[in-house]
Amino acid sequence: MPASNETEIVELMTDAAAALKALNDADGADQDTKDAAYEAYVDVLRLIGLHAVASYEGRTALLTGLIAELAEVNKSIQVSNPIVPYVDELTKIGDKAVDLFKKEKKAAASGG
Amino acid sequence: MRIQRTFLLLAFLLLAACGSIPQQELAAYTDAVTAARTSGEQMTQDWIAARAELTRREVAKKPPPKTPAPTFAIPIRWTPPVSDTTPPTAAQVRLMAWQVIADYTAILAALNAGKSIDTVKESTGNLINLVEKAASAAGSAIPGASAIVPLFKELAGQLEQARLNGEFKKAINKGTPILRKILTVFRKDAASHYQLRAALANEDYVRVEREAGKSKAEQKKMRLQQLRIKAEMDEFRNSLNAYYTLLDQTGQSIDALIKATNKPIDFKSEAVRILDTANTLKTHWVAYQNARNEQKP
Repeated sequence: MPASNETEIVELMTDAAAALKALNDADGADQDTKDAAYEAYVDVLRLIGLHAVASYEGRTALLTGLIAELAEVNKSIQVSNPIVPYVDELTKIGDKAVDLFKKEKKAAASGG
Repeated sequence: MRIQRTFLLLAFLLLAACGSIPQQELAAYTDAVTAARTSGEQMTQDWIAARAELTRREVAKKPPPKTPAPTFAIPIRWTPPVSDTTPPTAAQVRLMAWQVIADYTAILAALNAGKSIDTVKESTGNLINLVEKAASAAGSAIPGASAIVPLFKELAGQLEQARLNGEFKKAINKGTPILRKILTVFRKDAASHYQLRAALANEDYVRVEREAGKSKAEQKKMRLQQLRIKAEMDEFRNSLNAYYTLLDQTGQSIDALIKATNKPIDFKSEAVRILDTANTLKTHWVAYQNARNEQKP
């Protein structure tokens, strides 16, 4: 719903509520008229409330999309360095290889 | 002199690669968004209560239609169970939005904290030590090898800082346009929230008047009830105004953060930092040169 339409609807309902409230408060009106005005006034207020709910809930789909977009951005940011785990793994393997080499060298030197 | 110039250039390139993280603007944004989130979550809880109250009144006005007595005591037809895939309510989606914003803010803070710099330095140190260990196992020593470790660690640390700065800039440029749109939704929500609360309060206000008797005591009680309704609405309006202000402040802090993140590097103000980095690199280089010369046969 375009913003101007939404504002117009709310203004229209507010004007209607104000008119019904004035009728409810009017000194010259008989009780039946006042009762009818009161019932209608409450109905219009409920409509204003329901309109607010519809407006709020109507933005939920847009918000859901925005949440998904921001979650994607969060996922794409690399807080930790992506290369470090590979370097660490390489260092570990290299370390083992050097130890093995040393053992082999020692064994060869002792004639084993 | 040549070494000094080389390191100055290196430091300059490292620092200029991705700019730096604007500390003040980030702190202002974090403060604003944290306060807005607390307020926003409270507002969402109030919305849930107001929404439930409207539903209660609507149901009370129109009693549900009587369900006809079942034809069979035991249903003849079997209905397969429906899997529970209820979508989140509008209010739950608002809370999810605050959560994803909090996650985003935590990422910015983590990039700023730069914990990965130490990790990178440690990994680099281990790798260089391995190279030295391998050389010595092979029977040849690299002159001054242990002295070069701090230089490589420093360089790796500077490179990691540049990477973090780049990631920060990416997070700001990709995330803030979405964040702004979410804030716009929240601002519109605030208007709907007020409308719902005001409709309920006006109904209460007139109902109290109609239900009051004509006696003085009844009239006094009515006026007190009406004053209470007005006071509650005033309190709500104040909370909503404060929340709206926090949303605005968050928006302003985002603008400042974007501006500071994307501003061209001010070489004059960065000069001290560049010189510091260049001197650190040079010190490590000189230490390495000395160690190498001492160990040369």
